[in-house]
Amino acid sequence: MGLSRLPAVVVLLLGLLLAGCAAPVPTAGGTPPAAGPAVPDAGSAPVSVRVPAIGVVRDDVQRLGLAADGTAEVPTDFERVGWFAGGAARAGGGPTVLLGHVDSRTGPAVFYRLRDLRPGDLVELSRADGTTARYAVSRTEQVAKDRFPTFAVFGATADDVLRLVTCAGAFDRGERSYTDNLVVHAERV
Amino acid sequence: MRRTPVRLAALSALTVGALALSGGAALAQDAQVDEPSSFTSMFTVMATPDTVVGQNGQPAPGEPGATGTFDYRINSDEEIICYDLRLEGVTGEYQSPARTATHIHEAAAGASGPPRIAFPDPEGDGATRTGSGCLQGPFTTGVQANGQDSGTGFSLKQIEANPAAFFGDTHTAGFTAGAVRGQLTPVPMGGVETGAGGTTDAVAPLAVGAAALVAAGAAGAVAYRRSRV
Repeated sequence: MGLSRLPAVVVLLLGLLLAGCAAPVPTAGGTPPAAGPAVPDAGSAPVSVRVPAIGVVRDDVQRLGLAADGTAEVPTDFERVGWFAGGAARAGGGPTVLLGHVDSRTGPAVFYRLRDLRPGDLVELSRADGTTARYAVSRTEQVAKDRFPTFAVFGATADDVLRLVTCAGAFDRGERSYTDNLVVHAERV
Repeated sequence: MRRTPVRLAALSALTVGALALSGGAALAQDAQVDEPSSFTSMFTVMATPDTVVGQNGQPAPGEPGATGTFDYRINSDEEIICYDLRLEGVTGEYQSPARTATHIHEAAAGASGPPRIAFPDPEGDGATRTGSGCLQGPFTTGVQANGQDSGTGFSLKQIEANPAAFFGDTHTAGFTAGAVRGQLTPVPMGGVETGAGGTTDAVAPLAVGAAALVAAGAAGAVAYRRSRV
């Protein structure tokens, strides 16, 4: 699903690189999501994010969609934050889901300190339409990837909520993948 | 919750006509089945009153203040759809020409179209109504169109091929065109790969094969990004 929209050369390269590997496919960068509505609401697209408690300041939020294998695309740059543009994202409601790496191959990445967020910590989002919204962390949960709560993170909701996701748990060297995800839930304030 | 009450009271004259044609077969429920061990796709719907469209294609706003969140998990190989439906602020009796009043229809945003799947209507006291279960096709809705059930020939693979061409909704006596409605949007399956292990104690060896290295030479940036970031 959606594979046909990837540039042919990218598909070819990924095929070469991924033989026998079930790794997710990161976005080629700046491309629209591979599936889902063309644009849920262009004005609702986050463009910058600030999380003062953990020193995150990024003004280049990357748009993400679904990878060809059905998983979420992840940012191509370890220091960038990505926004899942599919799903039920919309202006004034629904979940806004931001994805960021916990580490690169050599050291900490943009969401390395996500684990340090505590209830009440603030997250500030600026959107393409020029609006800014503040969210307060309500809770953090660590979940095994093979039991990832898809709808609790990406599912539709009438409320204006924010979810920040990165990796956690043990690093499986064979799979080159962490065993868990860390999900921080935040609500509009 | 696996209850699938047949809402005779909600049947309209149109369905009565359909029953006459089909000899009552329209009342047969689609099979409730156990949850499959895996899914091929997942979708979510934010259903709201403002997106409801009437049969004539004109806006027909639904129940003010009502919302619906519909989560669907599909195994298109086994033709099974599992559903978790939640309605907030939907009031009154359900009403639809179909066997039930909670559906997936085939139509793009802003357009009307026939129901392809009829789900048991969500139930509950107060402002919240919920319903969960799994249905296995071939699906029937109880609506007759062109001499056959509007679910005839429909496959879940059609949803996977173009989810934006389908919407979820629920119909009530007060809002027959729909109390709430929303298009299907795909959600990611499985965990999110947001780490490369650089802060773990053990430095992982590069798990890249010879072929990948050749390709990496041609497109280093892509190769780098592919390495389980």
